[in-house]
Parts: sequence; C-alpha cells; structure tokens
Amino acid sequence: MRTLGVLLEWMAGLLLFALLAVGVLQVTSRYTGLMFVPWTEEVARLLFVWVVWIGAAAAVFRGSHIRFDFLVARLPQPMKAGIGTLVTLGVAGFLILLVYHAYEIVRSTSSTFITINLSVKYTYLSVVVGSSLMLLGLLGALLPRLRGAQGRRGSHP
Amino acid sequence: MSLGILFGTFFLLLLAGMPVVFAMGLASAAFLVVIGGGIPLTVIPHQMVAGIDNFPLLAIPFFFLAGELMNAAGITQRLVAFATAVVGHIRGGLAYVVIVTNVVMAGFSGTALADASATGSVLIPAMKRQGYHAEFSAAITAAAATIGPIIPPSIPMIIYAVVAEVSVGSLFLAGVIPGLLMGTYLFAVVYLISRRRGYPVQARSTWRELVTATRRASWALMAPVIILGGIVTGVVTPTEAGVLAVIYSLAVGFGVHRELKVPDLPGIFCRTAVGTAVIMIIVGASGVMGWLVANMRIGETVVSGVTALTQSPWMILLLMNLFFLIVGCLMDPLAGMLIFIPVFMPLIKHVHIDPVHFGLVVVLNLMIGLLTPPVGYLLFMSAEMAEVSIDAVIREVTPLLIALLAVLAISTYWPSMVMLIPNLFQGLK
Repeated sequence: MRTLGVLLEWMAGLLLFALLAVGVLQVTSRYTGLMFVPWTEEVARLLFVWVVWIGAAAAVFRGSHIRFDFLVARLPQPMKAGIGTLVTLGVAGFLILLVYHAYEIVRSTSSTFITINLSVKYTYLSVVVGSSLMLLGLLGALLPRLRGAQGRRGSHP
Repeated sequence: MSLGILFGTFFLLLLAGMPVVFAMGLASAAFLVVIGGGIPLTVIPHQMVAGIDNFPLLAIPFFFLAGELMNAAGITQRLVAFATAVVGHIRGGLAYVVIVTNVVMAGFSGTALADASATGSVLIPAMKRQGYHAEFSAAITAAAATIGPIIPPSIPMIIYAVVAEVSVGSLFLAGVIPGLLMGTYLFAVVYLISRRRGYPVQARSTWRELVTATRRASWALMAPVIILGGIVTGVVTPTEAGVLAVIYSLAVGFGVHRELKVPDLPGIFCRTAVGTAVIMIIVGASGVMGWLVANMRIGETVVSGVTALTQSPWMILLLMNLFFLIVGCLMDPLAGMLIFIPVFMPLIKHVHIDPVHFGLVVVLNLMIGLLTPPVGYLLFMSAEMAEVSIDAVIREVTPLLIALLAVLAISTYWPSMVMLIPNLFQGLK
C-alpha cells in the first residue's frame, strides 16, 4: 500500500512535468513564432485534470487532504475512533458513487477535442481512475486501524 | 429549507473531521438525493471536472513550482542577506528583515504557508540566537507571510478570479498597493515593539557590503519585476507568466546560483503535484456546490434578504468583512472562499461593488484568518518552528494583527487606492 502511494506521487510528479513541457511549448510557439502548435491549451488542461485526480489519490494514501480536527481531537478516544470510522465509511460511499457516475459519463461521451483527435472521455476517465485509487487508499488506511483496534482489545481485556 | 440541508450537512461532516473535499461532495450528493428534483447524479463528476478544467487555473501549479524551485535555488538566503544589509542596522533589525524578505518573496510566490516556512526556517533560529523572544519571532514570521498572497502572484486570487469571473491580471494588480501597505504597517508595529524591548541591531553594512548583497540577490529581486511586468503590460497571460517563472527559476537555480541539483527535481515535482492536487480537488468539489447554489437561486435569496435590511454598499462591505473574518477564523481560507463567493456574488453585483475590489477585500480577510485560532495555519506553523506554545504566539501576534486589520479597513473603504494600478494599466492591455 505504501509503495502504491509513493508510485502515485511519482505519477503525479511526472504528469506535472509533462504539463510544464506543454506549457513551455505553448509559450515558445506563441512568442517566437517559429512554429504553430494548436493543441497546447487543450492538452495542458487534460494533463492538469489528471495531475489533480492522481495527486488527490496520492494525498489519500498520505492522509494529507485538508481537514479540521480541532473538535474531534478533543473527544475521548473511543468516540474519536467511532467517528473516524463513520467518516471513512461516508467517504467510501461518496467515492463509490463518484466512480459509478463518472464511468457513466465516460461511457456516454462521444465528442472529441477541437484541436486534436482525442475523445473528451479521457478527461472524465481521470475521475474514474482517481476515485478508484482513493478507495484503495482508504482501504489501506482502514485495515490496520481495524486490526489495531482488535489487537488493543486483545492485549488489554 | 434547501439551503439548510446543503450547508448543514457540509458543516456537520466538516466538524466530524471529514476532509473538506469529501464533505463538499457528500453534502451535495445528499442534497441531490433528498431534494434533487430529478437532477441526475452525474452532475457531481461533471462539475468536479468542470471546476478544474479551466485554463487560468493552470497558473496555480506553475507558480507553486516556481516558488519551490526558487527556494531550492538558494534564493531565500540571498534575500535575507540583502534585507539584512538594507534594514539590519535599525533597532529590531531582523524583524524588519522578515518583513522585507516576505515582501520581495511575495512577488514570485503565491502562498502564505510556503513563504512562512521558507523565511521562518532561516530567520526564526537567527532571531532566537540574537535574543529576540521566540514567540515574537514566530509572530512576525506568521504576520509577514500574509503579504505573500496579496502581492501578485497569488494562488487564492487566481481561484477567486475564476469563481467570480473577473480578470486574474486585474485582481493581481489590485493587490500591489495593499500588500506594500501591509509591509509598511507591520514596520510601524515592529518599530514600537523593538524600541520598548530594546531588541538588538546588526552592524550597519558598508556600501561595499550593500552592493555585494544586492548583486548576489539581484536574480531574486528581478523575478517579481519580470512576472509583474509581463502581466501589467499584458504581454503574457497569468498562466504564461507562471510558465516563465518556472523557466526563470530553473535557469537561475542551475545556471546562475548553481545550487539546484537534478536529484532535487523529482521531490519538488512530486510535492508540488500533490500540493496542487489537494487544493484543486477542493476547487473541483466546490464546483458542485457552486452549481447547486446557482441552480437553487440561493444568491437571489441572499440579495433580497440583505437588501431588505440595507442598500448601502458601505454597510454591506462592513457585513462582508465581519462575515469573512469569522469564516477565516473557523475555516480553511480556500474552502471559505469557494463556498461563499457564489452565494454573495449576486449581492455584490446588485449593489455595484467592483468585484475586483471585493476580491482583494475577501482574500485579505482570509489571510488575516490564517493568524487566528482555531484554524490558523500560520500560527501553528510558526509556533512549531519557534518551539513555543500557540497561546504565546497569539499574544505576540495581536498588535501585528491590529495593523493588518487597519490595512483591511483602509482597503475596504478606499477602493480608488486599491484600484489605482489596475485602472492605470487597463489601457495597456
């Protein structure tokens, strides 16, 4: 699970690198006039959407999504754990819904980008892939917690 | 009470500790399921992509990246040395150095937290060594870092501009004078505190030292000029300015300072990608909420509700300030902006407040919110760097906070000051 998280970070980093390359291409083509590359804006936007969804998946593995715990942190331990599990289940439910409906969009989209012959569904595919990976990440975070809870109960009866 | 369901669920989930992005998504989903009126749930992934898939937003990863690269290129140390040569000899010298470094850094960095960690990691230990109170060092680091997103480039401003549909360039320019004003006001407070406490001074640098420090920092000092110049003259769009900033920092890091190494790059790219994603995914999720807010005509309800009480832009600006100060205390600034801008935008337009001016006011409010508990990231961060309690930093940050509130008041009620530079360069574009 940790390896997958690191792998995702690298993928997000690589996608960002590709995005930068396209950005540089756009700036050079526009200001030097040496060449005309019509597809840079659409490809850059596509890459950006992928950076965000893959990066957000990596953030689930690292637990680095922005959240506020100033209230929960003050609760007694069993209550905190209970709320934590409920929250995780809620997030999982939302992600399942997201994967399902994003897949529906991917299946029904037939239009292509204006400047390149590429289907627009690849934009929405990022949501399917990203959310599925986030689900995996949640599972990875939840399993040791459940196991740990049992372990504690076992050692302190 | 459709509004209650949407926002009530959202805040409940937030308080339970659910990450902002999922709380937004789940609240929107719950709303659609309960009172959707036949709106298909595909609207959620649709809007979550539409909120991100927007060309001006691409400036965000680029400016993020430029900031990280410049820091790795050793720009922070050079700026600190430059600022020390210029203002170090005044009583409380290092506190002024913190402010000057932040003002310059604000010209190529777009986030307050990155600035605080860059300057704090160098200057907090130095201040403590010289006998400044640790809690004061933390407080000035935190307060000065709020200048970062006011002087362009600015990540919160890009997001506001996209949500409120105003020009990123104009909003950037609107931040220049208020940002410099913040620096000036903080100077004044540091002056008073340093005199009373007898804080140390640095030896006055000779002309030769000043010239050397300036030359060594010249590449860092040029960066804001290039970025701002490009945007001001309309030669480049903010997104392209972001690309140029990255190229510039790579050139300086590898070519001039030679402190950036190829093995540093993967870490910087991965960190920037995940950091951008964490912010942008919230922007995406807020797209769903914003869409619902627009569709349910919540903005119109707010217009009729508020205008029944008062029609005066003066009063409405006061109310907005109070509201966003509270939001800034309780919430992440970005989340607060993304949720409430769609709600209030119709009201702002209805009473003819300039949306660019309003954007500056909102971002300034939310930056001040970074200095107030319970959700004051800058407080936590600087307290940790200085190894002091948050309560002690809160005490020390209070006079600085008052100075920043004064700038907020001036910027709110003197729109022609804020809009001077944007209006000046309107013709150039």
